[in-house]
Amino acid sequence: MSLEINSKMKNFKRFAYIIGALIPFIALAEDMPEYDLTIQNIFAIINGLVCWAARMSYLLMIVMLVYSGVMFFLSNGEPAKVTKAREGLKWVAIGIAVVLATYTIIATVANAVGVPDVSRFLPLHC
Amino acid sequence: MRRHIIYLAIAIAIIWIVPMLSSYANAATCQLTNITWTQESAKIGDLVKYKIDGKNCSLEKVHVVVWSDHSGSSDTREAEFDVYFPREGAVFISDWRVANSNPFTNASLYLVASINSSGSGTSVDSSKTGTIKYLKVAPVIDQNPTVTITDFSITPITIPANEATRLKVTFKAKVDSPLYFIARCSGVQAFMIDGAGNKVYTQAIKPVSATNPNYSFDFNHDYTAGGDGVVAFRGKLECIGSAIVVLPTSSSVPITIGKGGGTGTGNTGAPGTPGTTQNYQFTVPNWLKGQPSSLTDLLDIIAKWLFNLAIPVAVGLIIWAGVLLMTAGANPANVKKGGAILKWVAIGLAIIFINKGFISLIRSVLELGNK
Repeated sequence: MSLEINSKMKNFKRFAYIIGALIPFIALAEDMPEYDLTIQNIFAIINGLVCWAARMSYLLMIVMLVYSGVMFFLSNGEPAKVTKAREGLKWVAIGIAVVLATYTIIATVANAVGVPDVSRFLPLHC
Repeated sequence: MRRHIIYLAIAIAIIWIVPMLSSYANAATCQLTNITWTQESAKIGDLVKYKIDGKNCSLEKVHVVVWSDHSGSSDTREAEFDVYFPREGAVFISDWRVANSNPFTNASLYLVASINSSGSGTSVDSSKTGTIKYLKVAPVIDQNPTVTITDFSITPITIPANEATRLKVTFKAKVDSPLYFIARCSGVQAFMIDGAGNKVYTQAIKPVSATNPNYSFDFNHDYTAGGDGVVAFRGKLECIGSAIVVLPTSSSVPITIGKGGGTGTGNTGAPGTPGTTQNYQFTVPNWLKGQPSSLTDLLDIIAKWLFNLAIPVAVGLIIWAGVLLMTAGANPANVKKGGAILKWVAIGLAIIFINKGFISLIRSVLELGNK
């Protein structure tokens, strides 16, 4: 799980690859329809990205659950590995709880500081 | 341990394969029972729906042909495509973008659907069994295109007399329906005419597009000016094609040559009276959207803005924290990071939720000084 992405140079290289891959699309941009980009659209774009991230995290939940299950399998009963797998599963469970409780957390904070109508902006329209 | 994994794999394989096999075993032969349009008439380019009924046609491939009915002579194919029944296999509704190979005449279109096997119920024909047998398509020639000149402007608007000057002309036009336009005009030609209606400039013919409604005829023209005066130019469009379409002429754009035109004589005026001081009031329009009239109003708008932005960002951050915790495993750095994100999101949210509260809080603190 620990990828070496701390090096800034590596990050920059990745960015450059992505931009490079997009160059053919820049050539296509002439044929693309015109959009009026207003500030409201930016809200909608952020909203859409967050919705996408939420869906990805739901997928990740299943992947991580399966992964921790596999860790149990591979522990082969060795106490050290079992402990490690159990620890992993605990944090997977906590992570899942946090992702699923996103709106509950926001609503709780809102309620604590006395925002009258939470349903006005929660949940996001995905 | 390995044995357990193998058993598990076998169990999963059985659980997946059995329903698959049973669905194959149950598959009866597909029979189409009916096909129909859902509307009687349409224009070219419209999306129209059609409906196919069938029995046991789950996921079956159906070949659909749209025929144009020419009573007497042989019918022609307008479109052909393959569609797939949904899993339920009873009713299939889809849409088709109306096309007509001969857009200048009336057309009656009917549908024939068939499946790739022999026997009864393998082919249905909307002209025989459909509740709406034919889709009537009016010829595009009956529809008149409307062309508007959206921009006609010339720079510079003042030119020196008795010499050639380069005029930069911006000339743009828009068609309401490109399809109707192309049915009548194959090409479109732009002109610049002067006040007397003489063609000063003629541009090469541009082909008409079936999809793009916008036309741009921008050009540079070296205009040789006469003596001082004013000349009014107009942009004019003409249609090149079999049918006549009257295309518009723009309103005139006056260009001043030299000192401008107009001569005259007048009486000598009476001596002027000294001026008096006058007041002139003017207002600057409020160009801020939402029309804030005070600093508090402006703060309100900014707070609302931040609020709208904060909710999705907070959701995203909480999800990110959750993901960090999930993938932490036994890695305490990520656990710490996820926890910190959660804490600061909660604090940030609290501040943004309080927003207006701060204003009234500061106000009430300041008002304490007056007591």
